[in-house]
Amino acid sequence: MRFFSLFVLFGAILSGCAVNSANRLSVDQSMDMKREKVAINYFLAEKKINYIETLYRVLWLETKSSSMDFSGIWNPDDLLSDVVSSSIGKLDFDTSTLVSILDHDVVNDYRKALKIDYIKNSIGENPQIPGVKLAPPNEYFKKYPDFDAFNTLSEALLDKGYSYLFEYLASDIYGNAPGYGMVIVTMPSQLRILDLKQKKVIWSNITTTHEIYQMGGDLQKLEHNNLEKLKEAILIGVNEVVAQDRLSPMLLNKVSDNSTN
Amino acid sequence: MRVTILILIVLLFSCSSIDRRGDIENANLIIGKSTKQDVINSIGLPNKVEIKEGNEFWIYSGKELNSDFFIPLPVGAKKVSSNTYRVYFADIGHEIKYDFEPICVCVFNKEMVLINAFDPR
Repeated sequence: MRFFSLFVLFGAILSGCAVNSANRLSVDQSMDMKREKVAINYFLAEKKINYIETLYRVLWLETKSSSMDFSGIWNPDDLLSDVVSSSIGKLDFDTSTLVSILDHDVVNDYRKALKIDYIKNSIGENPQIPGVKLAPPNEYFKKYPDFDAFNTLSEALLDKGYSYLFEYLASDIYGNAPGYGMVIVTMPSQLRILDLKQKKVIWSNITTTHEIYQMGGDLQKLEHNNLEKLKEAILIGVNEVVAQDRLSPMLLNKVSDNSTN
Repeated sequence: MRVTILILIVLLFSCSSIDRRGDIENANLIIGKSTKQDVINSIGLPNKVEIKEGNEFWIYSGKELNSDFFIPLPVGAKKVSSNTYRVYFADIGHEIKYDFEPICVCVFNKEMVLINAFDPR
């Protein structure tokens, strides 16, 4: 019961974070964005799932952790860029994914450099899982990127007539088995919009996805059938984060509000 | 009483879905035929993936990287009402960090077919 309460508390804290950190585009910014073309990028820095499981040993509890690499079998970046592009497009923005606009090499170079930049700016190692780096601090996502591969990408996008870049950024995925047969898949993420002409971040929002399954606490079931449940959890979570009813108050602000970055 | 003891024993030795050493030792993989999906279904995802000379190396340690024990030990009690006591516990558990020690490496070619599997120790 103790862990269930902790889980509920954790969920409440996360929800609180999402609400508190939400900001809104001004009407002018929103209208400007609608007049221009918007490039979309979903990016998962580490193609890994970090497992944490709690085992009840009668007189004590044991928490084991590990990290699994799925880069050899699944790269969600392009698929989920399509999902995000489709959802943002429903808000009447003219969206296209990076890979549909630019040469794959330019996009891949940018994503590789972004991963390095992510690791360089990480707030440190996860104390529970050796070797796993935590995401950069929130301030990182509010600062306009300044590294060669980004500058190349930015220039290429401007040349193609794209003035904005909407990014859905995640560091890695967590699979948690806290007990009661639950398996919880979470993906802490950051959303941001870059104004490529003005060279500034005009909006950012911290968020997370979390899907709960009853799997008898067996984390390995996430991997069965070509990672079926893992993929499902991430797809559902991303769809919820970029759902129209969630994003429209922030991106289609109808009330004059200057509370942007 | 016997049922209770049985439940306690089952809980004490309940399996970990992170510890896959047994799966790795008993894996039935066929060189030249098994695919990445077969390997995942049999022993799960690797801990690390490396690419060398066009081949992909999936590296398994088969066990956790960290184990943290929470062991509550009653260290005192205080009477708070006529029939209620507040009991104090100390956590005497400890944490164990394991070095990454590969016990299995699966090698795939570009067609995603298993071309080698070995114990690097």
